Amino acid sequence: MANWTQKKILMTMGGVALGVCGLAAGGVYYTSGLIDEIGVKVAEKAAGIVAADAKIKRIPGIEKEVIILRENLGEYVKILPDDRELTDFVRMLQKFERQSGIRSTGLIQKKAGDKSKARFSPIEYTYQMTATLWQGLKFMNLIENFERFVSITAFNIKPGKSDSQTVDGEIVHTISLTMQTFTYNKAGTKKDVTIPNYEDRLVELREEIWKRMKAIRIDRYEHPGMQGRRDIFVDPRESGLGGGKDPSNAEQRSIIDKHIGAIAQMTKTLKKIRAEGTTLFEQYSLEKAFKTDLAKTLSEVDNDGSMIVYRPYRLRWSQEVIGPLDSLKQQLGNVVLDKPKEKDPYLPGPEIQTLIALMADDCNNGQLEQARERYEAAQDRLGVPATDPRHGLAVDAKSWHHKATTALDFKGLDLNVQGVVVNGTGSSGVLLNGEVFEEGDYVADDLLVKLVEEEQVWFVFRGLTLVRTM
Amino acid sequence: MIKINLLPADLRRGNRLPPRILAAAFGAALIISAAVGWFGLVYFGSLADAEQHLAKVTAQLDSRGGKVKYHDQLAANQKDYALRVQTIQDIGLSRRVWSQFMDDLIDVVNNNGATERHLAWFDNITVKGDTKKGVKVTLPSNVQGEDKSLMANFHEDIEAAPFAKDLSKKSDPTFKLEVDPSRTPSEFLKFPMVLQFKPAEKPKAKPKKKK
Repeated sequence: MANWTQKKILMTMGGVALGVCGLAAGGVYYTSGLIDEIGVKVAEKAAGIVAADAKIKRIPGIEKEVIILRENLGEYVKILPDDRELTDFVRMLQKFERQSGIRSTGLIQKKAGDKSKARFSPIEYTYQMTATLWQGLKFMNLIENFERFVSITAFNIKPGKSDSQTVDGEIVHTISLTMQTFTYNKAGTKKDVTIPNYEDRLVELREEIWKRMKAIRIDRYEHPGMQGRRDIFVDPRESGLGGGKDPSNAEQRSIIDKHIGAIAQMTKTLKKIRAEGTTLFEQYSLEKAFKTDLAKTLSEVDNDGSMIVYRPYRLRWSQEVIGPLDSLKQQLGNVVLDKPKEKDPYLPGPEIQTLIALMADDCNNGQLEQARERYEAAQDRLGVPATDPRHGLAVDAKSWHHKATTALDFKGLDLNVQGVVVNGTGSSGVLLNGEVFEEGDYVADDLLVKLVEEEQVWFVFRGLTLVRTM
Repeated sequence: MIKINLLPADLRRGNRLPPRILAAAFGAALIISAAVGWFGLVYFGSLADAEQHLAKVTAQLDSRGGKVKYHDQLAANQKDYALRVQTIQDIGLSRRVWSQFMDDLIDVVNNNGATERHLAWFDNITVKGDTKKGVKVTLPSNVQGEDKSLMANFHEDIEAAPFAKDLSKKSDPTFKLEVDPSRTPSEFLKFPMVLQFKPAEKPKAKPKKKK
C-alpha cells in the first residue's frame, strides 16, 4: 500500500465509501420494506380490533337473543316427541280409543324422515277404524289436544249403510286418519355456549321469553260432543218403506210443539212466582201448579222422547225441550231453596212495638203473668239478630219480659214483713220473717233491703228495684 | 552534492500523506458514517418502532380474542336456535284443527234443527293435505227435495261458516236431480262440494338490502 499511488488510494477510498453507502442504502431499502409490511400488518390488526370491538359491543344483544331462543326452543321441543315418547304415543292411541269408543282396525307407518340429518324428522301414521261420527270426532279431538304436537294431515270418512252396524242408534262409519308428528334430532345441535350469570339474565328476560313463546300457535279445541245434532253422513229423509212404526214427521213436530208450549207456560208461571207483587198465598198456589205441570211434562217427555226419530227434529227436541226443561227443574230447586229466605222469620217492627206497649201496660197494672205470656207467645219470632233494625225493639220486649218474670218470682218469695223501724238520722230496719234487716243488708244472695219507709220497703231483686207495701 | 536525509522515512516530506488524500479519507469516512448512521436509524429506529407498534396492536387484538370467540359461538348458537324455532313455528302454523272444522260443518248442516232452509247430508268426506297448494276437502253433497234454492242456501251457509275465511276456492253450485223411492221426499239434488284451503301461512322473509 505504501507504494500505491495517490490516485489509487483515492480510488480505493472512494470505492469503499461508495460500497458502504450502497450497502447502507440497500439496508435502508430492505428495512423500509419490512416497515411497510409491518404497517400493513398493523393496519390489519387495527381493523381486526375495530371488528372485534364491534363484535364485543354486540355481545349483550346476542346473549339476550340466545337466552330467549334457547329457552323458547327448550319449551317448543317439549311438544315434539323423541323416539321413546313416540312409543308412548302409540300407547296413548289405545287410551284415546278406549275413551272415544272407536274400534281400530290398523296402524300403518307411512313415512319416516331421515333422522340423521334433519333437525325435525316427520313421522306419519295412518290409523284405520270403525266408529260413529261422534266417536270418530272425539278421537280426532283427543289426538289434536294431545300434549305432544300431532297434526292430522289427511282423513277420510266412508259412511256405513243405513242397515249396517249401529252404536247407540248411530251408524258406524269407516274412518281413516293420517297423523303426522315430528321427532326432534338433537344430534345436529351446536354446543350450547355458557353464558355468564345465566340465571339472573333469565329472570330479567322472563317477560320477553314469555312474549316470544306466545308467537308459536298450537291451536287447541274442545269438541262439544253430539249435542242433539244429527250425523251429516246419514240421509235424514223419512224412510218411505216399512213405515207405520214411527210417528210421521208432522206427528213428531206436533209433539215437540206441545212440549214447547208447556215449557212456555211453566216459564210464565215461574216469572209470576218471582214477581214482586205476588202474595204469599199466590206464591204457594203457583208453586204447586208449577210443580204439578213440571212433573207431568217430565213424565210425558220420557215417553215422547223415543217417538222423536226424525233426525233433524232430534236437535230441536234437545235444544228446545230437554234443555229448557232441565233449566226449569233447576229453577224449581232454587225456588224451593229460596223460600225460607224470602219469608221473614221475625215479628214485624210495628208488631213488636205493640207487644212492648201491651207488656208495659200489663206490668204497670200488675198483670205480670199476662205480660209474660204475651212475650212467650211471640218468643220464637223475637230472636232478631243485631244486624236487623228491629233488634232494639226486640231487646226492649225482652227487658219487659225480664221485669215481669223477676217481679213474679219476687212475688212468689216468702217475705213476711212484720214491722219497720224508720230512723230519720241513721239507717232504718225491717223485721222480716222474724229477723231484723237494716238498709243495705242482704236477705238472700239476690235480694237486698234498699230502703225502709213507713208504708213500704224497697228491695233490689236480681238487679231490679221492687216495692213491697205494708 | 550528495544529500543525506537523516529524518525517519515516515517523516520525510516526500513520504507524508498528502492533504488531498487526507481530505478524501476524511470525506469517505464521513460519508460511510452517514450511510451507516442512516441505516442504523432506519433499522433500529423506525423498524423497531413499527415492530413495537405491531406487538402492541397484536396484544390488543389478542386480548379481545376470547370475547370474539365467545361472540362467534353465540352467533352460531343464535343462528342454530333461530332455524329450529322457525321450523317449529312453521310446523305449528301448518296445522289445522280438523275436529273444529268438522264441528263447524256439522253445525252448518244441522242449521239449529231448522229444515226449511236446507236439509243436507254428505256421501263421504276426503281431506288431503298438500303443503304447497293447501288442503283439499272433497264432500259429495245432497239436499232434500228438488228446490234448487235449498242447494243455493246450503252453499251460502258454507260460505258463511267460520272455516270459510281460510278457503281459497269453493266449488260452484251444480247439481244432478236423483230419486230414491225408499225415502220421502224421494227427490234429492246431488252436487259436488270441493273446499280448497289456503296453504299454511309462512312468515315473510326479511327484504334483502340493495348493495
